Amino acid sequence: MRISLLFKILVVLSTALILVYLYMNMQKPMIQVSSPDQCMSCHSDYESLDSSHPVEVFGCASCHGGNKFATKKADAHVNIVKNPSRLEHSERFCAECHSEIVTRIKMNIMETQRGIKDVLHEQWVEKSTGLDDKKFAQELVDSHFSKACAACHVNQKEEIFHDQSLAKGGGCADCHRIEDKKKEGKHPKFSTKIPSKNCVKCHNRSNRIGTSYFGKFESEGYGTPYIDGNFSHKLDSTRFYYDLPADVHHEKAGLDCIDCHTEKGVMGDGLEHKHMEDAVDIKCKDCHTPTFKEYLPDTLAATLIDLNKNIPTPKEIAYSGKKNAPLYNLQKNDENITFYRKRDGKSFDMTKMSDKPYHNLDIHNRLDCSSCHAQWIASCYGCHEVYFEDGKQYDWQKQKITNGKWLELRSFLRFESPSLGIGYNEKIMPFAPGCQVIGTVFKDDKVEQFHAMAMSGWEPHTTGKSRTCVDCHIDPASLGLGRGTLDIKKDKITFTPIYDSRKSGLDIDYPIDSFVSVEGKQFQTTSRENARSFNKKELNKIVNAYKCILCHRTYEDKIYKDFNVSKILFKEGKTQCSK
Amino acid sequence: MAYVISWLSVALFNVSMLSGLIVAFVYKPDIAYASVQKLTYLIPYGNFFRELHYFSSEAFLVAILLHVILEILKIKINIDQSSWNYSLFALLLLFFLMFTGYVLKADLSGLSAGEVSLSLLKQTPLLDNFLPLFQDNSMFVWKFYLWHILFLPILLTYAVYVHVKDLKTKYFIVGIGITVFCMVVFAMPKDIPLDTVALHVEGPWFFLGAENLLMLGMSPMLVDVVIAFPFLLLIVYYYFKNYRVVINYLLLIWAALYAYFSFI
Repeated sequence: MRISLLFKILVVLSTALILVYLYMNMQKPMIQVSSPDQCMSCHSDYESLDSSHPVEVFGCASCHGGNKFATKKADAHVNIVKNPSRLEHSERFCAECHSEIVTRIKMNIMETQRGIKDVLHEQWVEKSTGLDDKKFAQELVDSHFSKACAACHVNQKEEIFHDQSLAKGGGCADCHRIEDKKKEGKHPKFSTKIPSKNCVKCHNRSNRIGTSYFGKFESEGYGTPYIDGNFSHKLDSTRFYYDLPADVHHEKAGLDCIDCHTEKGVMGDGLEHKHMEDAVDIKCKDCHTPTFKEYLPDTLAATLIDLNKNIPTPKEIAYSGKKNAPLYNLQKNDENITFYRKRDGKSFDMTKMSDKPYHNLDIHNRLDCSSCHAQWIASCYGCHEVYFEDGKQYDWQKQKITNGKWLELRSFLRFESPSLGIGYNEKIMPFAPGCQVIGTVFKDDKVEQFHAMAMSGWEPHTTGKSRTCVDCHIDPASLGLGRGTLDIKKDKITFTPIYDSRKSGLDIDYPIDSFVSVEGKQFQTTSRENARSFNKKELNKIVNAYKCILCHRTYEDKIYKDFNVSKILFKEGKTQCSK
Repeated sequence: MAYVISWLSVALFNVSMLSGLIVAFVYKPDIAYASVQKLTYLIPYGNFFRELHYFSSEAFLVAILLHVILEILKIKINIDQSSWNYSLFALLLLFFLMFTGYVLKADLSGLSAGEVSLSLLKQTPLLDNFLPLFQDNSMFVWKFYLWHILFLPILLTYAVYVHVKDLKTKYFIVGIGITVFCMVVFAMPKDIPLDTVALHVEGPWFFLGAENLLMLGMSPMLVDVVIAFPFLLLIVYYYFKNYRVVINYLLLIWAALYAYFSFI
């Protein structure tokens, strides 16, 4: 009897509960399935990342994870990744389609930062700096790298930058995101047409090629003229610039970094390079004396042209000489050689390197293009690095404040015709300080000094009309001697420098702007195995050319039309000079 | 009390079987996870039936365990040896059914549980011969699926029928009511997407003790023994009626230890 009553009560309660439950839970409208996943039912205003990743095809979850079927935020956002392009996530998402690129990026020098680490180690630990304790010197290297250099890193966390206008990192987004910052509630846009500002946000220090290319020279002062009572010419909140002649490629054609630099050169070739020049793919001659090959579909070139959408399909395209990467924007159709700007597809007739005497002289075959065509080079002399062991500072690697603080002070920045030396490629190329570190270490109530004075050769990215013969052959600064007076008496070269390092309080025996003495003694180190200053023999040879240059100043002069014949005639005493 | 638990168990069994029949129409073993997610979020009433199946099965297992406890605590065992053996067989089948169901949801925890169980089987002498009955290299869930929707339900239904003689369908509505009550009070565990990384995953609650013992370094064979221990005791239970108290204590100690290792 009791069981029967209990049963009846349970039946009534069960029926009521079921009806109420169904009523409460089944009145919701059914979800309209409009994309590959349900994310768009909430994020309907999100636009596609780019035309290659339409949200109608990829949905959201294929890149961001989460539960693509779920229609409730809590369920849908399980295990979701906000920025899948960060390298720790790219293996899981981007690599589904772009595994080869993800592998390359992880070996890329902008990811490994090996160039900075190795040079710092070589300059501060391997070479004589005044710091005898090599272990401590290495600790200084690690500390300096972590607290200064490591901020620029492909996979840096953008959100840790207090000033978001200076934020770097984000993995693939570091380069490929084309909007300044994520707009609230909007999906960022990606592009393979990387705007130059994405490059310059990192490449604006040290050799400063990113700013130099656009004709901006970082000044040591403040930005004038005032505009509306405020400083002008700002690089960022604390740095200012002067307007100088920009690189001709920017000045005349408005080219961006990616118009020359290839995807293999920028994203890496799968090898872990030690220096930037090893990673970089292109040389001037790749465009100005190009090698063309037949354009074939189903190649990387075809993919890149297809992605770009502004560049036509050619008969032939150029390839880089170093890594055989397609320069798909340099095309040959019949006899016409056309260069296309990747940003908008604007076409230019390619200026081929002329066969004028100045390009063909045997005596100049060691010259890198930049040794003559660099209009100026940004030179930052004597960087004062001060280390306070008891200080605290943000560590970009550990991403927290740790012990030790660095202070960087500098005041001697110059733009000038480049000094020359023998570069990493064993060619004559522009040199500038890179880096001249004068270090002061405050440690255990003691003060230690060290200095690591180095000159580095690089392509300054300020290409323009060539320097004159006089500019290289008789200017002491160009020869690497520094600023001062050059005298040549009875074939003996003497040099009187202007700068006196001792008087300026520097513990070095040579002017800070001197790479070499007239005796060919190299004062400052370099960070490349093959790089060096001119030796005495080379200096004499260069300077002694002044005897000819005084009269034969330009290449229009008839002696340059066939220089070998002119030399023979000279040696045989058949010229006016040698008679 | 024992009687109410008994018929409630049968009612819940009926709900579990019928709701399972409904969700089986949607489940596709070749796209297991996706089909479960579609059932949960996209198919009209899909989640209702999935929860109905889940909670009725869980409640059935709990009711059966209560039923077993109440039966062995009785002064005298009322059933014959054959019926006892069928009951034990049904209990074993039920755990298998619950476990295969857990694997079939095919999320990270489901598939991980499947992997762990196959590894256990593989590393246990004699039992490793049964591996081909569960392992399918081309479609991981395929044989679990066959067991779950075909062999085990048929065998369990038969064993339950032999045990109770009457499937008590008049209690069906109460079974649904209790299940819906569980749906209101408890939350079904969230599915863990397959590409989740660095997240702790767990098997079904009755498997946690075994998982933790494995993590503590116990050999797989010993873990098998731990899992089989209560079943072995129940098998010999009928033959050693005179030592029921001892066996009951042994079962109690095992349950306490297993519960302890489940929660550490």
